Amino acid sequence: MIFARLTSKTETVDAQTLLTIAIVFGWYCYVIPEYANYYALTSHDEYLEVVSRNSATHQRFMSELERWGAGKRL
Amino acid sequence: MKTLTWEQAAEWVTGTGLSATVDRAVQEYVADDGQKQSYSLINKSIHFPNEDAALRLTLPLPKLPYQVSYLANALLPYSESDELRPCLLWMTDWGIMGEVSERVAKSLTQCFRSARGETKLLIDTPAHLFNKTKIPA
Repeated sequence: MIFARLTSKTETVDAQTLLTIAIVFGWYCYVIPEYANYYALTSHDEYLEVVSRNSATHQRFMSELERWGAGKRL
Repeated sequence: MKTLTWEQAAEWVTGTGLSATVDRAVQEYVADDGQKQSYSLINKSIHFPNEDAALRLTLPLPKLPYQVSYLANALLPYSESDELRPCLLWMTDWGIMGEVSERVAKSLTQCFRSARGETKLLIDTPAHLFNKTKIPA
C-alpha cells in the first residue's frame, strides 16, 4: 500500500515536471486525462488553452482558473 | 511513466472519447556537409467530436517563473486530496523558439526521459502516459 502511494506520488511529480518544461519553453503539449471531460494545450503563443466537453466542466475550470486570468480568447 | 509513439498516442486518445488522427511521413535529404538527414512531416488533429468553441478557455502565461509549476498542476487531473488520475502529456510541436532555448529544452527533456529508462528519441515517442499502470497494493 505504501509502495503504491509512493509510486503514485512520483508519477504526479513527473507529470508536473514535464508539463512545466513544456510551458516554460513554449512547446506544444496536449494534456489529455483518461477519465475527464477536458483537454489542455500549451503552445509558444504565450497562452494556454483548456477545452471542456460540457458546460459543467467549463464552469468548473472558469472558477478554478480565474486567478490565472482565464477567459475567452478575443 | 510509459512513452507512446504518435500512432499509439492517437489510439489511446481515441479511447478517451476525443477524436485523434496522426499522419506522419519521414523525408530524407542531403545536408550541406554531405550527410544524409531526415525530418518528419506530421499532421495531427486532436479535438472533441462536435467541439463547442464557447467551451474553450485561454490563459496567459504566468508573470513569475516559479508560478508555472502551479499552473501546470492546475491543468493536470490531480488535487492534493486525490492522486493523479491517468493522463497523457503529448508533445506535438517543438523547435519553434530560438536555438539556445530549444537546446536547453531538449537537454532537460532528454535528461528527464533517460532518468526514467527511456532511450528512444522524443520524435519517435513524444507522448508520456502517467499513472496508468495498475500497481499491486
